[in-house]
Amino acid sequence: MANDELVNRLAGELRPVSRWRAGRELMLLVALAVIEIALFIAAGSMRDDMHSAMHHPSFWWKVGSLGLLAIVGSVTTVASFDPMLSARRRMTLVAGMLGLVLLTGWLVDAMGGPGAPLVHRLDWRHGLDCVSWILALSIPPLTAFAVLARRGAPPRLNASALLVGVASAAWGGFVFAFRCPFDDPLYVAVWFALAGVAITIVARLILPRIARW
Amino acid sequence: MVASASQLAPRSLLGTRAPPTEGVIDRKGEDWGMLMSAAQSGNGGAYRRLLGEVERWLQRYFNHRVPGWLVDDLVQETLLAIHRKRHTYDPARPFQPWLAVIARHKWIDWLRRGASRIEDELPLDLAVEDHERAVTSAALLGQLLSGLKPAQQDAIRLVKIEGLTVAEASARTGQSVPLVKVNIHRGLAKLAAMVEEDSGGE
Repeated sequence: MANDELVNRLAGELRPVSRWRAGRELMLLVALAVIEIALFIAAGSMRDDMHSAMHHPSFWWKVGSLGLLAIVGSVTTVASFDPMLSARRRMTLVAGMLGLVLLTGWLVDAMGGPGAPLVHRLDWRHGLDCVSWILALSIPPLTAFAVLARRGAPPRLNASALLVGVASAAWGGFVFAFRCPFDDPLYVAVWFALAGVAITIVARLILPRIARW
Repeated sequence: MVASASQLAPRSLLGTRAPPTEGVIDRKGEDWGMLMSAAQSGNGGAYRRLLGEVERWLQRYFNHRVPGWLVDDLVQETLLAIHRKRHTYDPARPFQPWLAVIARHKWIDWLRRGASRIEDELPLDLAVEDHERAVTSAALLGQLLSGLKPAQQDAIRLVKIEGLTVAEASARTGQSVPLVKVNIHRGLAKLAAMVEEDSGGE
């Protein structure tokens, strides 16, 4: 087909479009997050010792860190779908935040004094349970990000995919934090991070294929 | 906001200059943004005018970046991408940087595809392509290729630019057939990464 023919065909089939707006996309994500958390609570998945857990700094570190990562990760991920914005600086920001979360977790852990033996602290049976929960809870945001990526025009698909993985995992981890009875920073750093790595690998493998444009 | 000429021009690639006709683009920059804004509202006439101008701009853009026989394919792919992603253009921003991002994206995409498909089928009219176009694209490609290892440069130049088969390139370079394929794959992947790296800033 000649270029002129293509131009005429595209102009001939032109339809009005609704402009892509990052703010609107973010509102959709907020709505999805509210629905997921509401369903999670309505299903009776909240931890039984929530009241006493709220007296421990490690609980607030866990919830606060994951919530902040989920929010910043979601904003930066949606921004990376804008063709005019680079994902590189946003990746640096998210990586810096991850480092800060681990550092503050280490400080919270150090303030708590000597802990139990490593094997007990990591408790691999519950740890694997945590990983599977976080993976399941990360599926809705992962799907939503994939849909939004297809609607946008991410100029660096691989970078966007990594951001999608981190944001989805943080989101899943944040919701699960209200159920998980373990607030030990070491436990969270190991098992939640493991789930995050798994989700990020999935996003890195899948997203560039379905959001290619 | 009025964009400066350097903002409007496509980013130079690894120090090479953008096409010499950027002045025309600058003068028409505002019009293109308005035409796209009208197109987003469904104005087919404005869209046809815009795509006509953009098509010429893309010809110049790709003439300097890919072998001549591929230019029309990439121009059409980019026009389709513009059509599919036209809702992502924000009329509050200048049009040309948005256009340049999409064109660059298709270029990188082509480099990546080349890395996964070692031997593209060459067109029959390869030998009669426009000489000037061939010289300019070869110059830019040559500059790009200089960032690769010599073995990768040879493999890509012989198979992707001169149109030899992998077996012929193997005989010419002394590299084994699998090694030629590996060098093309790795070389093109590295080229894509270099272009992407060069366009990483906002």
